[in-house]
Amino acid sequence: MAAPMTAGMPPELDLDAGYVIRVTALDAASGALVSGVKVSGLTLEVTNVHGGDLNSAVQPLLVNEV
Amino acid sequence: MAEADEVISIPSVETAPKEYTVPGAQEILLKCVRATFDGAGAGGDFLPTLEIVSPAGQVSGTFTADSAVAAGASAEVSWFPGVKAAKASGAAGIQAQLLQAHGAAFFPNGGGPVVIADSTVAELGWTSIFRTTPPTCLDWMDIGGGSAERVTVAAGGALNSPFDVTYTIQVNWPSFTGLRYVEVAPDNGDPFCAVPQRIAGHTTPDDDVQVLTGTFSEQTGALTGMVVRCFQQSGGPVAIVTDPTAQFFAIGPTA
Repeated sequence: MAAPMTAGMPPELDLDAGYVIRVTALDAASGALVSGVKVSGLTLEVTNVHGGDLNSAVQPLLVNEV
Repeated sequence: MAEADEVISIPSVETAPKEYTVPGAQEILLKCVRATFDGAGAGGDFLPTLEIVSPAGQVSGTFTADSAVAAGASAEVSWFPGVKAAKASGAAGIQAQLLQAHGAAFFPNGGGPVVIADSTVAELGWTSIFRTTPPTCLDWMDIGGGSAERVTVAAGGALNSPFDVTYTIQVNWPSFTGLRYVEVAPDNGDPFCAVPQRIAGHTTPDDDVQVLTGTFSEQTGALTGMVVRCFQQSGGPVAIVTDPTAQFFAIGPTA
């Protein structure tokens, strides 16, 4: 079972088109990407400022999908 | 349509990193992020990390979990505002360190006169630095043959990592009309320093005083130099006659 963890972030980051929200796994000493870590269940709670379609960028199959 | 709260769900399993790009002509206020990390096949222990990347590809924010996940283990991580770094087990409290720098010398110029030619980027080195001790997470290194210094950051000393750093850099330009900026960036690509950050402008007198402020959370003991650069495009050469200043303030749990 996955252990619950929390982390901080600034309140209400205002992000325009083209900004990327990236969830990744880094080595604590070097800051390099740690290989082989699987990420799933990514959920973003947002305020949709313009009310448009925010899911057009969500592709069913990405290049690095396993 | 009026703004509304929504949940964007991307349930697919992917090898890190996993990304979402804000679609064209849209704008969001990010309130909370959740993700599940499976380290069964991980190449080592890892810090679950949220990064904000600008359309130009620059990492403008890095937010890590308080502790690392061991290789082979899994974690369900939530990022939301108001969460502070956990106090280290057995820690006696918090400590802080202040570093102040002035006496600027630009490079290239051999640390000489503070003059920037047109369309030139120059590093702002410091000839006078004061810091409190302990801890020793804020320090400096020689640049320009030792004629000036670069501020450095590294977890360690009397502070546990992670610790937070707030900085303010002020440059007083002479009166001129033309693009100019001040920026700070890590010299080794350290992703935990949420920089480069830059303040830019081109008017006078409004942009003649540029104050760059920011914060980042340093996670590692690796030495990182904080390179302060100035640029001016068409006013010059520009001689900065007022002493630029910098201040770095680190605070975190005691080791």
